[in-house]
Amino acid sequence: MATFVLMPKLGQEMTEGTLLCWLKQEGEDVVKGEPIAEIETPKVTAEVEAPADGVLLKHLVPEGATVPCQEAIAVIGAAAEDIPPLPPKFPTAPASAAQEVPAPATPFTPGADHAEAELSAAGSDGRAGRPQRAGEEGGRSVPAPVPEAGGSKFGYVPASPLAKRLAREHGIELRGVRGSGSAGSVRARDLQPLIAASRRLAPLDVPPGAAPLPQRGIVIPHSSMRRRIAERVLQSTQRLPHFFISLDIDMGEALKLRAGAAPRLAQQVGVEVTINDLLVKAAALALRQHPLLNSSWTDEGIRVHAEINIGVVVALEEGLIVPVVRRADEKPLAQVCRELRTLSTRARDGSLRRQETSGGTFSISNLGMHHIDRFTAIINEPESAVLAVGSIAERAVAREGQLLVRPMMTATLSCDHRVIDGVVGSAFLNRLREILESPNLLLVEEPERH
Amino acid sequence: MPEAAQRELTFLAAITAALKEEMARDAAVMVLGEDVAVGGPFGATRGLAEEFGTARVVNTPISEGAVMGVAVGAAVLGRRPVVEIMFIDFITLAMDQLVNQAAKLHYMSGGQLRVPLVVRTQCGATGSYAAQHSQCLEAWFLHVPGVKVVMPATPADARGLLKAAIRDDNPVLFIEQRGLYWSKGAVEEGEAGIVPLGRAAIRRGGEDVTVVALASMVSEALSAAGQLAEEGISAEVIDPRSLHPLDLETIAESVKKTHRLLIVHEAVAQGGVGAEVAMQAQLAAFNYLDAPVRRLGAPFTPVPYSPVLERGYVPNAAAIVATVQQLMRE
Repeated sequence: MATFVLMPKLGQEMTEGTLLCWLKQEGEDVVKGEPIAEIETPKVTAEVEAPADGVLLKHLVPEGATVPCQEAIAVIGAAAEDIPPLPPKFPTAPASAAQEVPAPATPFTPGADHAEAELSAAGSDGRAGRPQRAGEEGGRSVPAPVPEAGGSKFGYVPASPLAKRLAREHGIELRGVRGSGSAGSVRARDLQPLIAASRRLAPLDVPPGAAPLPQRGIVIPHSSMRRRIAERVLQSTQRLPHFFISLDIDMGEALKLRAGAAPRLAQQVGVEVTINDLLVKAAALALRQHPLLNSSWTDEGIRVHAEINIGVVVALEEGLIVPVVRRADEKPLAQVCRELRTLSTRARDGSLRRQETSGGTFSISNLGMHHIDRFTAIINEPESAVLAVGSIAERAVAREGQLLVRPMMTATLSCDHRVIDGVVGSAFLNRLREILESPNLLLVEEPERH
Repeated sequence: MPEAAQRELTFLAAITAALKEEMARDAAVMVLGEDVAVGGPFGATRGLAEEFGTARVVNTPISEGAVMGVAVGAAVLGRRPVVEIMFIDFITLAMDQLVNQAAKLHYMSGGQLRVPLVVRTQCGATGSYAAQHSQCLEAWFLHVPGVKVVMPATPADARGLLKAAIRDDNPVLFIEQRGLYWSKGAVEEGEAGIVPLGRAAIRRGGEDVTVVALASMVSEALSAAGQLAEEGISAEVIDPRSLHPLDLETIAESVKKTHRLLIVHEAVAQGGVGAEVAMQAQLAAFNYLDAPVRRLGAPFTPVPYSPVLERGYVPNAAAIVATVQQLMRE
């Protein structure tokens, strides 16, 4: 029996994936578990594994095509096997990337007497009185139309007229919207969340009485990353009661450490230690002592996470992405440094894997390299806090009656007030300052957490 | 206003009332048909002969073609005949007069002739009248330009539409569903309550799905809508009342609101009025549809005699509920 390879769903928010390249060509033998294709989502790239042993009979989508999750992308079967003519879609497919081809649905549908409304009594053989269920048209059985799996290859997205009109009106790309209608067809209900989002975002949503938007100019179509960023920041700002606290940190010692440690670390790791590395390690150590900052609000209660996984915002041309350094508190600075370098590189060339961008428990955003003194960041749900750091710049500081010029950095913490109160946030921020102002603490091998 | 007075009547009594009122109002109105002078098989014309005489309430031989021919001629000459065809199944025998004469004369005479004819007949599968006395054939006449087709669902509409049909200068096929004859409802008197042809009635407002139901299916649809409301599905029930002219505007406006359409009639689904309504509605509201238009009708088989099979043959509230549930999942 032939097996369809489906576009996997790598997480709740993934709705579609782009087929980057085929690793196995048509006619090649494949072993179950062997990578056969590389795919890309707005956040990561991943490999699709063969769900069964056999021969890769057919590629159903070309390289570069974007395909909704759980839609067939290839067929694996026995060497001489015919390719099933109608690769079905699976409206509620399991998480597995493969699905056995079900037997063709019989046109007989048991149900309410008249639900199908069509009974054909006397067929051409004249056997009246032995009614036979038939399709809507002409008394013949007409199987429900199933769109070809290659549909998206030809740019056709099955959708109701209403859904198409709504998509057009709201500038929503139907491709990639998961259809809940018959045979995976997109219905208006599938667009409601997107419409709600676009309505809140739409620049055309001018208040009544306001001057109309100028008609000249260009429209930049939303990329999936742009749309995702929009949804997430909008959701976070609407749902989380943010508050912000700032303090200035004297980075003199940290810069010294960096200068002193740099050659050794460069030798060990092959790269230079950066302020970000120090920030990640320092925040991770501070979080150990202030676990509420490393938690999530849930309906059951505040979930304090066992791991300290620090996300670092990386700017990209088309948006941003947040790779995560896992268990940053447990790793020596050199390792944090090495991992962060790898993650940043992969983020920029788009090769991050899903697990490298998920599971964060706290985030850091640094605009210091862009000469920003201070700013506030939006919390990356389901985290409860984010640290925004500005540039390190020489500032006049009064200390013990003296006016000093010191390399100062302003750190601003955004907190979800449901979880974190001002004093708790302040304690964390002060601990962060202590560590960064006595950065030898970053080099001490911390005891395991109790 | 004195006309606003209401009384509770059966569907049949409302028909009788409309005939009496129109005969009293206009001496040109006359009734022809088999046994009509003695009240007809169900009593719709009871008392008319006594009140208006057998010159205006004419018993005819059992020859539908002849009756219809006489009526067409009388109509052309200025009378306003109301012909009774005892069962719509027998209308086949009068088709030539109705389709080729009544429907064509105004057109073919360049407007010189008028045929103010009403053909009353009854239809429907109830009471085991079997395959030759139970059909719903309204769709046939929708295909004939020159004939209006009316199907009332309530006593008030039976009276109101019949009065409008008698006053119409065109041939009107007035189809009464037998199963409704003994249903009761408030009916107005005098000039009040005349229902113009071509105006639908919204029997129940709703948001999620539009159910267009014909004649006896209206009460089934209302019962279904009640059950669906318990599941949180809000169904709007529309009774088109006349099939030609069809009040497409009311249907299309409803579909634009609900985005889903089901048409229910007792007649065989295939080739039925549902197909025509579906076609017109999708054309008027295509970009508002969120699911395929569905129809519900009798199976494609002759009406069975067996009471058990007959009950299973006619669409009912349960079938409407099931179809709407399916439609909501589409």
